[in-house]
Amino acid sequence: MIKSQPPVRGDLYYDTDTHVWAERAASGSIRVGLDPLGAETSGDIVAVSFAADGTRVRRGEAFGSLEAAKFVGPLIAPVSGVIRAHNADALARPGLINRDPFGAWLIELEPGDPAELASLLTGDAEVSAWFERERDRYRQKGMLAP
Amino acid sequence: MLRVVDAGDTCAARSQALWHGIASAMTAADAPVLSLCRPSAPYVCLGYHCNVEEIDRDVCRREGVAVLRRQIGGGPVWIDSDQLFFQITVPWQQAPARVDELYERLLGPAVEAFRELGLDASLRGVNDIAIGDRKISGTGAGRIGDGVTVVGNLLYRFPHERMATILAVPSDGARAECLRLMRHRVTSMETEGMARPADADVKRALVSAYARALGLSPTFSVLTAAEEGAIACWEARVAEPDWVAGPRRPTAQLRQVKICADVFVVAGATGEVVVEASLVDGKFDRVQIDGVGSAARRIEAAIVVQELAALPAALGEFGADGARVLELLSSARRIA
Repeated sequence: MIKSQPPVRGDLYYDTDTHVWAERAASGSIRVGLDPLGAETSGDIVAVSFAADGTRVRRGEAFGSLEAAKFVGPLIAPVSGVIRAHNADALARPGLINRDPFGAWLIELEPGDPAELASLLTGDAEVSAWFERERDRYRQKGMLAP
Repeated sequence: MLRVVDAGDTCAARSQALWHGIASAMTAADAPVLSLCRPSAPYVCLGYHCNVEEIDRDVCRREGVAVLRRQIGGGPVWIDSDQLFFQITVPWQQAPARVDELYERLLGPAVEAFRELGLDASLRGVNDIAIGDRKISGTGAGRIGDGVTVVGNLLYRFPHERMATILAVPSDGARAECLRLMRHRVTSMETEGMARPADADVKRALVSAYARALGLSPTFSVLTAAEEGAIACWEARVAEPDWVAGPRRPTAQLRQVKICADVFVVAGATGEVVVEASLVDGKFDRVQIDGVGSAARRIEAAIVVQELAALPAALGEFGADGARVLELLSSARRIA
């Protein structure tokens, strides 16, 4: 059960189906990670793997995998692009994703279609409202501590 | 409807491909599928993120044992015809988002079936089916395509020695400790003093328990053309060298073997310091340290019965030697 969640960040872009966040860097690349609810509902993450740098992924396709409690699930790209980098720290110490989901980014993409980012949820008010709804939904299902 | 696919006795690759293919072919509109099979030949199966170096491939080659990789989690496992496998696959939209809830809902019926067979089974930890503290079923789960599959087996008999032999561990001592703990904590119907059941009776109990738990009527079914196609692809893939090599992962400083929920053997070295230890129910059980001179036995005594989280305090008085041991043991991953 979750004890405390980091404050949600309204400056990021969220895929509301997969709980993956995206952040536009000054260089134009897109940094991608798992949001706190995605990390929490996964359980204790013990392994992640990523497609090789240089791999082209389309929005909605897996760019890697995550393992917790012997469950392996796909990490889904929120936007299309070419993987330019991955976070070696998260790869070596996947527990970082549980501890610091906004800090422990996973991959950086060179976006194929910058307009795709606009279809994701962003903005302080919108993100906070969605996050609260999701948190309530998970709590009602007994998936988060009250 | 609960579709039941009984594949009977299958070769090693098909015993894995069966449920990978069923999950791959699943769509949101499909009924859950309970698939059943018993591998006809022994093989070693690696969890998706498991490093291939965790097994001794020379031993596998020498014994003619195939090595496959599955797209669910966990470590390397020994599989043979003394294990009956069940797999429940549901559209991912119907699966609980939370992993512990997924296991509770989709392994709970197997626990009921085992109890019907006379075993005093319960769910232990997140995903072990156990008799007391002894695991009697290897389990795992994953999302493959649009299907989520929870896999389990019932161990009729388990060859602890052969399993210990195929593990790549740094020393004979670590292997002996793996074997000791496996004998204590991995059981089978034979070890529990029960007669080997007929496969048909186990399958009947599983089908009935899953149908009851899911509130669905069981219908025995053949594979669809889409499933057959997907299974054929997976049958080739699970043994492909590139697939068996696994995803790119960093090499861990500490070798960690999971015996069952909350039981691990860890072994590793940093510089001249060599550490081998076992963790049982959250506490260090046996510890052996070399390469720190005369302090070794005192450091071992300070670690035994401690929890991982208590090590910094327990090792504080041992200066640089304690710090090196702490660095090694702190890299132990938590594997549920």
